Amino acid sequence: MKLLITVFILFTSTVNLYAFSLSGKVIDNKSQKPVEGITVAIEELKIVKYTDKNGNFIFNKIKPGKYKLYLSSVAYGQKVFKIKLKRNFYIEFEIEKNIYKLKKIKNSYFKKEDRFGSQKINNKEIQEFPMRGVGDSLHLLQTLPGIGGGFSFASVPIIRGGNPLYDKYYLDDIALDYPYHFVASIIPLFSSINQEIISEVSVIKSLSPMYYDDNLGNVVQIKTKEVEEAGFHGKVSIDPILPTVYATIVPRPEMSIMCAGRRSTIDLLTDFEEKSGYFQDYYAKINYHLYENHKISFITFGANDSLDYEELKSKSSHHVEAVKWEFLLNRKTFLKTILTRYGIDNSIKDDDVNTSTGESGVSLQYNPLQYKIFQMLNYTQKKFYTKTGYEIVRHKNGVESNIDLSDLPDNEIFDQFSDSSIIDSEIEGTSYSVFSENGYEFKNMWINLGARYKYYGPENNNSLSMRALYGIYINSNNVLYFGTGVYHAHADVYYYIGETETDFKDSQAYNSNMGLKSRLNKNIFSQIEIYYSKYKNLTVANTNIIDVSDYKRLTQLHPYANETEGNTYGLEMFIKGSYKKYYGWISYAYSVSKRSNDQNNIDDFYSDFDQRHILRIACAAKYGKWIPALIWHYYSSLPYTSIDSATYNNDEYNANYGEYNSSRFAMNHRLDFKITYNYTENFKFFAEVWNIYLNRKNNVYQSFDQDEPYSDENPESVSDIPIFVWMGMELCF
Amino acid sequence: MRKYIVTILLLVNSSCVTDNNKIIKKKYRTTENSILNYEDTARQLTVESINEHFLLNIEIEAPYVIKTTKIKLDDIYSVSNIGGISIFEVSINKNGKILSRKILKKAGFEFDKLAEKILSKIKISPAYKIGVSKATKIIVKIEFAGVNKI
Repeated sequence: MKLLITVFILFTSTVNLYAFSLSGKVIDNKSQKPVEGITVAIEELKIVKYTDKNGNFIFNKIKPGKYKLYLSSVAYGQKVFKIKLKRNFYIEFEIEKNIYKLKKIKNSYFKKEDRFGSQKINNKEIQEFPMRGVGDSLHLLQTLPGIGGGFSFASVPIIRGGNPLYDKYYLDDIALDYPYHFVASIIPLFSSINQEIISEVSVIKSLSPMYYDDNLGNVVQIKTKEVEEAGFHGKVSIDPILPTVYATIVPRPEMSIMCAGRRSTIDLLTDFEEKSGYFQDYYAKINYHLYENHKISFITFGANDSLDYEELKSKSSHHVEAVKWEFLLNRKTFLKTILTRYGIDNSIKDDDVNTSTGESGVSLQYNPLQYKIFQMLNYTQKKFYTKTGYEIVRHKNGVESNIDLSDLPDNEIFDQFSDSSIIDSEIEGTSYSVFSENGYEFKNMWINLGARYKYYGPENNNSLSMRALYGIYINSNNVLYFGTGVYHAHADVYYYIGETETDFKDSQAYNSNMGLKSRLNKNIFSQIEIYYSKYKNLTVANTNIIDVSDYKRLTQLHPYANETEGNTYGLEMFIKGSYKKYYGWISYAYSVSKRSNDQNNIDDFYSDFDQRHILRIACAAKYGKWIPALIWHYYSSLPYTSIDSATYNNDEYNANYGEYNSSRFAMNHRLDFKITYNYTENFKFFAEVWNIYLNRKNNVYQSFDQDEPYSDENPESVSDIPIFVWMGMELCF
Repeated sequence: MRKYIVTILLLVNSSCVTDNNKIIKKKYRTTENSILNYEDTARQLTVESINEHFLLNIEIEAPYVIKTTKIKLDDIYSVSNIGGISIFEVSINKNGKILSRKILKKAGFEFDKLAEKILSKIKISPAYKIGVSKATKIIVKIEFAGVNKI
């Protein structure tokens, strides 16, 4: 018993031996002097102490364990440290004087809208919602009303059932043709615009203002961010394929620099035999405020892609260098001048030499180059404004190709072609435009009238585009608008690739629409719009190589829409807003796009880009550090030309096609989900899953095997991706 | 008897970990030896008051804008959709009054002058700790941006 008591006493006495002291010193990291009066606290024990005049603190008799130690002071802010106490512990902290950041003060003003009812997505939405996927910053546009896409990975937005070749992209007033990364130089994979640089993206449908050139009414306008932090800040995004580095620097008050870059890593990490490839893009902008009312911006943007697949070598790149000068002459006049050099350089080459001709099987290069000067003067009066200017474009280079299509590599798509094509087309000349957009305000009514005259050098033709837009503010929460316009667009470089005779005319669109935009409450607005467009002189590439929908679907940007004229009409509904912790939008579009081809005497068929119904529901919520977001898609498939039978000829089965674009697959639907976890203000994780329904088959196109006879299983319907998972993390500094 | 001695010894030893700690009884008083711990509950301080005392000591109430003013811009800004962000480093005293300001990033187009006008009319709450306001430095960002009317 005595022994037992002794053991107990000894044991209980040793409890004290397992209580340690936690002490330390706090010093200022700049002056290296001790800091007095800093609160030091242990969260788990709720103990609070203060540093003495030597910066020291001490906690006695603390049990071993894990603790959170807080250092807190008005001058130095609050820091938290995790400590594992196993013995007497001494630690020195260096802390930095804190400068508090106030919430941003916003002094907003009402914009004079050049097109009522345009829709937009902003950077926060691009970051939080799924569909950014493999870095495709513009993919979320496809959730806006009237914008479709052929399949999950289809990156090019299809606006109101029209051919995307007639749409135009503007990056901060700089015109771009197709800001995408390409596979094999012709298949767009994802946007080459880094999501980090984007402030917002607007889609103007049918009635774009006249200072935008060369479009049939649809424009995608990308506005980049302005530097929002003084000093040096940045972000590193790590994901499986495309890591991003983004940085902003303000070396002087009048100067700011923003730059971002991405580069694929899979080729660096993996060795594919005889196959290699990479994607990279960059963006940099230097803003300099020369005097009070001048701002000069130097902008460079570009992308380089490369893919070597056995003997097939392809490269694609586009680069922009621009100088932008903005000058506020006085309180009524603003002058904007932009000098741009914009070049595309795409090539695809097969090293296999055709023994009969001595030429390589494939040799295609298209490298249009433009030098541009754009100048616009904005002038305002009390009830009137004008935006008037001119644009001069010097076009250089063009398309060179020598393609023996039968000699293309063994590929299901290329196997279906047996033609050859030799093209040497220059897209050279100088274009001149003058334009004017004018706004008038009468009480609660707003009128926009605009016109643009253009002489297009490469095709030696003239065009006059015009538009009128009226807006009536019924009250402070409702605006009714309607408008009409005539637009002209010139044959895109893709038409030169697909055509040996390049005597193109400009295409025309006659667009009209009417809509009502309403603010239902402070946080929710709705919009309804109906439209009708008539098209004439649509460009057709007559090269006899295409009637296979899989090629069309994959390339997205192709000149083989077999249409010369047609019309599109439809209805769009949109509601967007927030309610408590939820945020999102619902968009629905009904659209009918019919076309005909007077060259081939084909009447009344559905456009290659026609999607009858498109319904999307996008919703995000904030639960503490978690932001879950989802998008539900329900849409008609693009039409396709069915294969009704096959004829056996020369050891292969040649497909016999039915009526052009007369078939459609069942309605497609899918659910995409993304979750973001903001671990700290500067560190977050995200994961997204596309097409959560694992067994759902969304058919995209038909594939016919020419080695097999026609049957119920040949052609085979090829479905969209079953599921796609993507994840990554972001670190800010 | 021995059992009682052992029990007392056990109790004495096991409770002496923070025996030297003193207890603050007035909620908002702060002293050099203001120490709270789990044993305070046994001394009739509620868990809530312990937590409150702890939070009061470690949390800082950062400065914030109480009231700001809106500057009306000329139509040319609306038509041309000109925008920008001015960033200032501002020293405020313990009453929130602006003592000095330094521009860190200019927005140009006369926005910086307008931003200074806003700063001259702005009301700022100073930083607080344990109910005491302190003079501090703050970064103020003023953004000028166009928005849609509806």
